[in-house]
Amino acid sequence: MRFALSFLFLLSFWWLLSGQTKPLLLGTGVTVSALVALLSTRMGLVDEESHPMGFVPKLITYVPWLAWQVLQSNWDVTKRVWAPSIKVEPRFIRVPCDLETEFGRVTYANSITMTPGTVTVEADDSFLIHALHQDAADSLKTGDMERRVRSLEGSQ
Amino acid sequence: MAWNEIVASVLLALGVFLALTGSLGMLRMPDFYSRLHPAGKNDSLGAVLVLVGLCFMVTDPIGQWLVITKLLLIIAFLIISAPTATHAITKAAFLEGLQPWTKPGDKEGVYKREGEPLHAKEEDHV
Repeated sequence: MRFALSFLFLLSFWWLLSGQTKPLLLGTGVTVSALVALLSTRMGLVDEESHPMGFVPKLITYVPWLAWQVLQSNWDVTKRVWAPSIKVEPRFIRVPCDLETEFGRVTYANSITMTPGTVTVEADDSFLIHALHQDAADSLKTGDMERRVRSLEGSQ
Repeated sequence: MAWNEIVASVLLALGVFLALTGSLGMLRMPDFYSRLHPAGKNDSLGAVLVLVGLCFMVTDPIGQWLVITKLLLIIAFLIISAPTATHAITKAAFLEGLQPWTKPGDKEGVYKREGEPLHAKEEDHV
């Protein structure tokens, strides 16, 4: 199953980058993709971490929500940068993180970094966040984003 | 002007504006940690907008979708790598013990680390 997926992924990736149509080159591409997929499967490189399959369909709802958050975050930071006097009250806060999977934790940490006025500094049992102002810190403490990431990793 | 050129121009202008905001923010923010906010957010969205704008400029009728897919792939990698890089830089500074700047009089914002005290490094601020 994972072998087939990596093969298809490699093949489509190769074709997208090369855009070849000649039978000889296409045949070479198929052979090489199969070889690489076979080798990496036998080497144990194809596992849950490199192929988080369960997540991918759910990303369809998560990504637009995150994109909206990113736009808001940019608008917020832009306003603060261009304001005549900079209004920032930077602070560190700790946010608990109970996500179990590596993928969920990475997604959560990166999402925090991309959204309003917050950057993940440390990602251990709890996350250490540098917030640009109190509003950003408060919006993170509601735990809304963590719930969304948790529903992402739900089926695992 | 064709419609795609108008859309592309608007997106490129927005992207350039955001990149400029990122640079200006780097200069205006009070300390290292705060500087990373405009650098990490505005710059990456600026680059994404420029790339999306470029998608509309592709007019080659045969290889059009191949080029657009490649641009979209670059966007996907940027979206993953930009926050990761920001996090790595911040964490390096934090482990080094760089004391964050807080607004004068803002007591609860001051961060105290357990164990050894942070050695304060003075940063000039606005």
